Amino acid sequence: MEPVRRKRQHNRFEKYTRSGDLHRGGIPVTSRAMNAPINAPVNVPGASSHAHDVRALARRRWLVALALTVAMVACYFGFIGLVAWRPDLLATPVGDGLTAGIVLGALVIVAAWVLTLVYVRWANRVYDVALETLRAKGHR
Amino acid sequence: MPTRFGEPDAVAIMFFAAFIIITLGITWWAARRTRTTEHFYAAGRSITAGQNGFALAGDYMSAASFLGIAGLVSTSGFDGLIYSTGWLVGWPVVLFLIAEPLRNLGRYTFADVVASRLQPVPVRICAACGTLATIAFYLIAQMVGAGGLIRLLFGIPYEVAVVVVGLAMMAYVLFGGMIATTWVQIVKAVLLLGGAATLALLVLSRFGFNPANLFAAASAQYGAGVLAPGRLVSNPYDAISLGMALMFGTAGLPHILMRFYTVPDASAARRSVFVATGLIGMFYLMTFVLGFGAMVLVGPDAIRAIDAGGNMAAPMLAELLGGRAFLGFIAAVAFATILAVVAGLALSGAAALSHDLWASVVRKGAPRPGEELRVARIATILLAVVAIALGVAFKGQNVAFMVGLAFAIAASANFPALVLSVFWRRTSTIGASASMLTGTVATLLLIALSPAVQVDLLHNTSAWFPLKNPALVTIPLAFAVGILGSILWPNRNEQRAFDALQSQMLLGADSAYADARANAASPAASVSPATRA
Repeated sequence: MEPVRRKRQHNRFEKYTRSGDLHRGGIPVTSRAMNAPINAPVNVPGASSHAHDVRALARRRWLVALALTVAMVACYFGFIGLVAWRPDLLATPVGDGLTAGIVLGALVIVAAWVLTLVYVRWANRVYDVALETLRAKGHR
Repeated sequence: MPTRFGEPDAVAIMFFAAFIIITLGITWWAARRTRTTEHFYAAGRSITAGQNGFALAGDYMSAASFLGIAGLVSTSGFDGLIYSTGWLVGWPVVLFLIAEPLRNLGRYTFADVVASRLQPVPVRICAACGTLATIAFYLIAQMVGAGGLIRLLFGIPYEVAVVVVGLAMMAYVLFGGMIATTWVQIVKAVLLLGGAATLALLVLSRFGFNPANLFAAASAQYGAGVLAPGRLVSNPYDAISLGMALMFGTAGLPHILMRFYTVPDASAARRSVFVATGLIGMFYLMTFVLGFGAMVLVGPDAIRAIDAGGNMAAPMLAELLGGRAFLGFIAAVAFATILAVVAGLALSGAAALSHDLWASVVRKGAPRPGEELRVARIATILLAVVAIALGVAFKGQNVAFMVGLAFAIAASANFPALVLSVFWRRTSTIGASASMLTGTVATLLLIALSPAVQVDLLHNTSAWFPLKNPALVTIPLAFAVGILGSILWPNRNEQRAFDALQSQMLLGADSAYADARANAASPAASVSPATRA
């Protein structure tokens, strides 16, 4: 990979920030940056409302992630709980050749798929759209 | 029908050799494209979501799952499903909590993420401890499994087999880096899924393509007990502990987390987990069918006669249904599986040593140009030697159990600190470092005090710690230490940095830009803090 050539004309804040990555308000992830002492975030007009939007979206994402994780944990540990404490329930036959245990185990696998699908659809429809809006505002 | 197990078989060796040639070809192609650390660790970020989905699935579907679960189901019936479900449900957790923030906040390893706003030196050292401990257990399990498998299938002596696997792994990683390991995983995943699917279809064809008929036949022959929970999980707390290790360990496996950096952005990372979850779920449903097929068509006694652990159930079934050719194919695929996984493990161990420890701690984040890559390659050679030594030293150990322990370490040392540093504003350096260190040490200690070591290995009458898998204790402990440490020793700067990083966590650093800058790596550009506005 060729080294990046730095052009002469950059915005005048270049010399104050390591990468000129002003608009994002984030700390660039370079090896040197990772070892630099932490300073206060850069002061940029409009940054505070942008930061507020970012926080709001991060919180929303966290709530969705938490809800789905709890659902998955409940499905799986519900199954494990039955295995641990009520194995007799799982032994009851269901139809010919199947038992409740096999059906529930298969349902846990299906639940994992369904929850995954729910998240991906939410992410595609809601989250990515919100991210694009944020990006557009950030680069204003 | 006389089995060909234990004798070198021409067909198997032919498939074997074909796989080695193909993967060496891939390595040669990859080596020509590997020039920078970005290529070596992250395949130049050129892997697509679909490809990475296969690579992730391939990395995850180790020989332990294919042979081990099929064997477990063939001898114990329903109990194998407990492992199957456990090994799958970790993936949704990765998707919801880990995948996108990880990709956005880090560059090559998960320690990048934890260190993104904390003091790098203590955090990276502790993260490297957890990483290397996980990798050590996982490597031992894979090397021992490889040695035993090759000896059983090809008749080659155990030590020779371990050396061969170690050398091949070294070649893949040393010359091909992440590009080679990724494509080897993809090839292997396709072969493994194809082989398992074919085998499953062959089994079902004997039962009218209805799995219920298969299960009914199993219970007719061996009693209704095979369709219900058996004695594998005797103690309820053991069951929950194992479940916790399997579910949360996936999100802490360093070689899996490293794969998220090979795709261009977080959205691709998310899609690749989606693909991987689908493939892995299908795979575990198939192994369940294969296990019962082996139980009915081959018989648990015959399976246990060949290998007490039951690991040969799937190959024996392949021989029965598809003849010597199919057995050879399955054997080669099983070998390929092990080889690909140890290569991934070695790469992530090399990354921990060179990226986390050398470049960030010793060289304070500014390694000389080309140095990090050289150190990574030296670390690979070292790890190959260590892996061979460990494989020979631990000959005969129970490998599925060791994989469970590797998961326990990953779930305790890596997962809590990762979640806390990504989602909790108040995480401080001391909290995160203490969490990782506690997770590692507590898990290793409780393993040493557990029945597996105390009773089975040291022949004491009882063990200090009653559970076989310590996850039930160590995961909450690591979280508690992380939270307490952050509350008792807070750091306002780091909290403010969390706010600053929120944007990057969602939107991503401009990673191509950041990588280009890092690779330019001019030492003169070390900026002092005063120049930041």
